[in-house]
Amino acid sequence: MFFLLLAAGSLQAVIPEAVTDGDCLNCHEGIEHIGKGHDFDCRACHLKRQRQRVDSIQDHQFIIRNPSDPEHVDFFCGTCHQEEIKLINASLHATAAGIINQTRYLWGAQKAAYPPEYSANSTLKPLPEAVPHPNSPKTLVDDFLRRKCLRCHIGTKGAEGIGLYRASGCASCHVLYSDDGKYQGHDRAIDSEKAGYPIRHRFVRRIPLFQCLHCHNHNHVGGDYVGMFEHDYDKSYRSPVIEGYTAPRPYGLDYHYLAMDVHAERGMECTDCHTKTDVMGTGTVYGYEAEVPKTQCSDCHGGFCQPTPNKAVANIKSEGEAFLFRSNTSGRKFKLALFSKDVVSHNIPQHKEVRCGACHAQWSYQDYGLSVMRDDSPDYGKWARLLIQGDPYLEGFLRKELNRVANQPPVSPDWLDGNMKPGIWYSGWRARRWEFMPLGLDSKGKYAVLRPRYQYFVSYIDKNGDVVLDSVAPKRGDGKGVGWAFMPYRPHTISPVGRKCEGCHLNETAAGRGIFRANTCDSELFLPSPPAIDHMRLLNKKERDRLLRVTEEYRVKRFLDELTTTR
Amino acid sequence: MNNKAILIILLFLGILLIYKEHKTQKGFPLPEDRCMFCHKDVSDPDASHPVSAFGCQSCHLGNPFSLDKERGHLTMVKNPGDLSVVDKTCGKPDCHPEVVIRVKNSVMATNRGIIKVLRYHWEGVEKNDIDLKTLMVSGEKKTLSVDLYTKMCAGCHLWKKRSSMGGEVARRGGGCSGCHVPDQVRAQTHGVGHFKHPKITTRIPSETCTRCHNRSARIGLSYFGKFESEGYGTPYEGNELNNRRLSGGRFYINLPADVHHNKAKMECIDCHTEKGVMGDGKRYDSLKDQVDITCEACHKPDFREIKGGLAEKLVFLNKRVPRIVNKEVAISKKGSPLYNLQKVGEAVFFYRKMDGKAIEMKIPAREEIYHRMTGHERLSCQACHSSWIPQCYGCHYTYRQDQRQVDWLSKRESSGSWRELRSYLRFSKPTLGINSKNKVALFSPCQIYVSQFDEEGRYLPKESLKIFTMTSFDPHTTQKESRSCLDCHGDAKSLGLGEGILHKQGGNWRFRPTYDAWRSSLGIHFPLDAFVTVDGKPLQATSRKGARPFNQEELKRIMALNSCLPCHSEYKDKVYFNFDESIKRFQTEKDLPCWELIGKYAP
Repeated sequence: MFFLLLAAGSLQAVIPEAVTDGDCLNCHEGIEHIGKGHDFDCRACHLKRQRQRVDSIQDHQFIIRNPSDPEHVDFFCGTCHQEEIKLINASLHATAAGIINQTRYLWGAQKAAYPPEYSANSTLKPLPEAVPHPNSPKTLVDDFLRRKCLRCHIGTKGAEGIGLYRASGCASCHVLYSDDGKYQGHDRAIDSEKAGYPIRHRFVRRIPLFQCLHCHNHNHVGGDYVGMFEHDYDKSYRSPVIEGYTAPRPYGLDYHYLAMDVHAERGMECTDCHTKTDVMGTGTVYGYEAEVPKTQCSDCHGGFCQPTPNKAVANIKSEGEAFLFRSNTSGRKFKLALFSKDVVSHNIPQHKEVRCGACHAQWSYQDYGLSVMRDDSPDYGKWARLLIQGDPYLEGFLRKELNRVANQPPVSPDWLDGNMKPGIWYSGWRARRWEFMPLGLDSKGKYAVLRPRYQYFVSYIDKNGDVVLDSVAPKRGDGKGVGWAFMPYRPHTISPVGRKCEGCHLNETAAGRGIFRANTCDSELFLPSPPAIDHMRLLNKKERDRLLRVTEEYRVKRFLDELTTTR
Repeated sequence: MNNKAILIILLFLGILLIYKEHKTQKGFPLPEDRCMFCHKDVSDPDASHPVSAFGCQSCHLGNPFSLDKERGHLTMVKNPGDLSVVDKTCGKPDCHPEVVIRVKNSVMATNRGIIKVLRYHWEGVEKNDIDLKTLMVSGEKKTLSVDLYTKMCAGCHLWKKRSSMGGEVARRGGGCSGCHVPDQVRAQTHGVGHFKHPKITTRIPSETCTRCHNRSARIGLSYFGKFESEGYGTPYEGNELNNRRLSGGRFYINLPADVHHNKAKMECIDCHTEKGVMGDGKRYDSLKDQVDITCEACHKPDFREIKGGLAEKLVFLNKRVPRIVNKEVAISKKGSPLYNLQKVGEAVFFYRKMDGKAIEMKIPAREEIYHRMTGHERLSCQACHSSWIPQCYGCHYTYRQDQRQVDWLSKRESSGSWRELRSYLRFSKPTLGINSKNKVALFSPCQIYVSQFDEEGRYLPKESLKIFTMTSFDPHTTQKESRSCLDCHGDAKSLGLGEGILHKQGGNWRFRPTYDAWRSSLGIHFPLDAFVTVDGKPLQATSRKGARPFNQEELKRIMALNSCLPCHSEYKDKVYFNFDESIKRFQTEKDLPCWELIGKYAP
């Protein structure tokens, strides 16, 4: 048995001279067993390496709260799980290589986004330290990544707030946190009113949806699976008023709830599709998400090439004509809907090149024009209506400063090294929409939905309040134009019925021509810019024309589709 | 001796006075106006109101017989256009009495449109007997909707005193002067004696209109291509938020402007007539009924020969539009002359009122085929030619009786304060429905939630309201091209169903909506952008009698046509001459080309 000794400060006085399980238990009475296969005494996992052989500790000073944190994981978990640690360290969850290399490329700091050069950990070249006196997007990007984006990788436990509580390392997935971050177990030493503790002192293998959402929230894939779409930041969007009060803001913002992914609607969880290799990787260092081999729609539903599910998937069993999928997470069984040749669009050979999601996605995250400003000067008044930006640290900081007469210069955490540094990043959008779905080609050459990611306008104000960068659109590292990208992705907003033909065909927005015929400086942001990775691209002229041209075959097939009625 | 000296001094002063009086210039043997003893050199407000002829008193009142500042100014009014004095100034029998009556009855002065709609939806009052004036006079106990009106809406009306309250509100109101005296600083050159009088004009710049018309339907913004944005203030400018600001901490982004502005640089008054703006004397319940201009008035004009009268007078006042001699002038739907749309021989010229620039208009001899299409008789111009419409979904009010707020009318605080929040904004894919004139028109949401709290700050669930309406108005985002056939016939949001996937199941139309209002804690089981269900059941009310979403029959017909569209995509396509017949033929005659084609591709 071993125990999680958490409430460090308050327990100092009662720690006995020599530590045994019994001693820990004097205070941590009732703490849960961590789980099968981990029958160790407390110190095996929670005592610092140099103290492992000492049989007495004076206080909690040598206690490691989370032995799976990347700093300690090799020593503790590594004894048994060397292989898994190797995998996870190479995975995108730990390297964040996609975010890092794409953003650095778009901001002009490196020649290409792929193959990846830098990572959040030491798997690739570690992300450089921030430059002391940045004067271009290129010299600002590492600071931006460290303080804004890398809140979400398993090397840090990120910001604290409703829905965001989690641990780092293995425990970021395998130890469950509730949305309010409060302990619900029986350890008498843990204050169940204080946030920041796991639900119980227990490892889990089946990771529920809500655990993934601790990171995969906001307008990112994961959030869309349950239909979440962020409210706008201005204070007039703190709605609705329920029973007289505005609701608590999970993940730091209010949310619109849109149509859930049909898989979520039916009760499936993330890990039903996302297996261990999806999540923990294969040991290969990948440069972006779509490169990781994953479960495909066709694995369960069949597709153009193979009408029936992939028998190699262990959870699928055939039962007479039908196929059943058994969920590992819930144990429930689902009858699989199969790719039907009765559907007109499933009978069009060209559609073989189209991702299922291009038609079956009901909505998409279309966040246009991302303005970011790093301000090192204490100038907060202008943010009074905009203090809620989905960043609990920023919100808390602004609230404090806006109530002060004499302001302090801003500081904010670098999520990679954990230090507070001068300056803070603010952000805002031009417009956020869910109804538009421009198309492009993904890394496998298939037609997929694009989302803006992102159209940056970078500002930097130094500590004297001097404007160093004034809404600069960054330039790509290889000189191929402005550092704005639309990236193909897989919206997790799957509808059992596809959108109509005009979701793509004869649809100017889908073809990449934006929303209006003539554009302004704002509406031109609805026009897609090329993806950040070479083997993805926008539609070329031929493809665009094909989408907007009406052939005889299209007309007839569309007519037949209009007549088709589903079960 | 002493007495003698005083007498001499008095005599001298007397002579001086008579001399001085004699020397004072008087243009006409008109009023005994001694104001100009001090205010010697004042420029004319306009050619029709020369100071030399009118003096000061005829407009500004006061005591014209006194040479003493205090006495002379005793009953003076700074703004003669103010509606509270206008009967004695602009509206006196010799001047513009008829116009003043009209203005006082117009919706800009009564606010009857706003008050009626609010009372109807919030309290079910069918016949509204309250207008702004009654509220200003009576101190009666206000109902919830009237309290909202007085505290949140009543900052925009003609009775409002100019320069009362702050910010943009200060620039609003002022009766006649509200429109006819554009903003400007009174330039004093040498003390009180010499100054430039503010200009009176009928060439009213659009900035004057937009200082009021920038909220609610926001037409004063949309026309110029401004969309009130979600308030991010992006892109940042220097170390500040963006400078594209509106009053009340709002920001805008730029979208395509109305073609009349974009191409022809037309201002509000180029279309909006004096009758439309100042009313015709009737007390209308809605702005829409008062407005006089229609698209057809210019684009399908009705020309008349006009001799003298109002048209001539308006041309004379305008001083930019050419005189009407041997020309025909177009007539509005209410019969007022559109003096700036003139027919010269066979050519039709539209003259911009601000600068008189002529724009030649092409009026087709016969309407184009796409404007004569069977089945499209009920389409309003806006249904196809508006490129976007501001849409504000979900308006969440909190009403706290334990807090106080200033009432715009009394300018005093009273208990009850309002706070307004929203769900989301959109501009694209305007929703269609049937308006009160039985035309297919655009609709935009006005969806009110009110959470009430009592004097002790306790939430009052029973007094809290949920009212969902869709309102029809001309968004003023006209474009030359029309929306595509598919845009209306195949798009769920345009049809009024909201964003989502329209599909057939078991032979019936089914709809999978995108917005989940119930899970978004909005307490309703339909999306905010849904005006009607796929079965034609209305989900939201409208603000005008007779206005409604498409019914089941209409939806069916519109969607049925969608199936034929990419093949029969031309207006002149024969199948549309009698569509019902065409459908019948399609179903019965298996030798039609349609079937031949289908046979070629069907599996």
